[in-house]
Amino acid sequence: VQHFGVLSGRSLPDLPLSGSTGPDEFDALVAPIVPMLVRLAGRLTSWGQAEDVVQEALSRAWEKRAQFDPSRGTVRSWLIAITADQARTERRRARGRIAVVDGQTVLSEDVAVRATEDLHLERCLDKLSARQRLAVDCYYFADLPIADVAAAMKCSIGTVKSTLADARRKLRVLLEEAG
Amino acid sequence: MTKPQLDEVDTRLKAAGQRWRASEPPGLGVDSTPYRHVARDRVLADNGAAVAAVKPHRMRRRLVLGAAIATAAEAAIAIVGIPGVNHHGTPAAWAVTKNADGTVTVKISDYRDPEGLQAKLRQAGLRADVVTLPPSCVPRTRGSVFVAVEGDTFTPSFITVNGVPLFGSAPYSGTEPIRALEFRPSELPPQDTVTIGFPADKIGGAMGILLAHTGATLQPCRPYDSNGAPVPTR
Repeated sequence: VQHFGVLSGRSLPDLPLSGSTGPDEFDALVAPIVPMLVRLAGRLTSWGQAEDVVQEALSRAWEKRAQFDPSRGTVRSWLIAITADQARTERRRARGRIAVVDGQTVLSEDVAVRATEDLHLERCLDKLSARQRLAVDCYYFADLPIADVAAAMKCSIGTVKSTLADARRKLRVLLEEAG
Repeated sequence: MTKPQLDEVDTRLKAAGQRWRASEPPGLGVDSTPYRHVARDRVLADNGAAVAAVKPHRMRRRLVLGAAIATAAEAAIAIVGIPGVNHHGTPAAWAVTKNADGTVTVKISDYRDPEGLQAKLRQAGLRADVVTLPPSCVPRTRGSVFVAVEGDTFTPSFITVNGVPLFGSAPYSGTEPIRALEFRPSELPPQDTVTIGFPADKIGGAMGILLAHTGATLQPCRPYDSNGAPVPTR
């Protein structure tokens, strides 16, 4: 049995995924992309929740492995889509437990510049549409290639590009408005 | 809007993304054991074998974080609030410690006396509000930043913005149900306040930690069911 970390960074083994795939085969199949899935989940939820999200996503993938259809995409894109779905569910569930305070914060310049800039940007990101936010999170923060972003968003590559362009335009306005 | 203006946004996003990725805790996703355990349990379940509870194993990296909080506690020079037994003879709900390095450590074992905790935190130099959150509230994120929430089991979360540790962290204390938080008051943005939300449902509820504009008010809540789905309102 190989550990995920050992295989990290290599390409996916050429193994079939089907209802007859055993746990060790499944393990080897998903191992190379676990770090990427953790990063994606970390961005869509938090680092603290990332492994739990991936764990649940892989459990679901395991249960649904017989439903995998190679004509509709790769195992990689299938796992990305499941992980993104699971992260959204977890984020909704966790946020459903709390209330968030309203505020229009203007940060002063004597705070560490980097932290301030990122906080400022983060607050602007919150004002993007859910689709734009997902595209930005996947592409800029989780560092997924456009094709993988398309898998997470369940859309075409062209749609991802146009969504990212729209997001940049909106962010530009938001950043200017916020000073 | 000109191309250079959009390129500037692109550059800024890429830089923020790099900083965020650099904040990834080491070793995340390396140990596959829990994944395999889940798969194995479900195989056994598929085969009809006796599996008491086919449930995902929660991954825990809490000992390392617990050690960090222990180190901070050892360096404490001023105890503002003392855990143990209060003057009524009942265990204290929380403890606040101001450490030698300026950080403030909060340990919460019970969601009682939010007003008292707020007073102690402010006495320790942390601009903080402690409120009781209505149960099952939908977040309203206009301008505020959500920084951490306690899940079914407490999930340690570094309080960061795009990976930059901003003003504190929430390491696991090592012993349920105590929740340990560590704040750096000097790095709290000057116009912001930390809001710690105690759940109204003290048993099974979740604690939320928010960063918001000082003086902001809680927004009206919309009920959510246990799966996080919105409950229709009449």
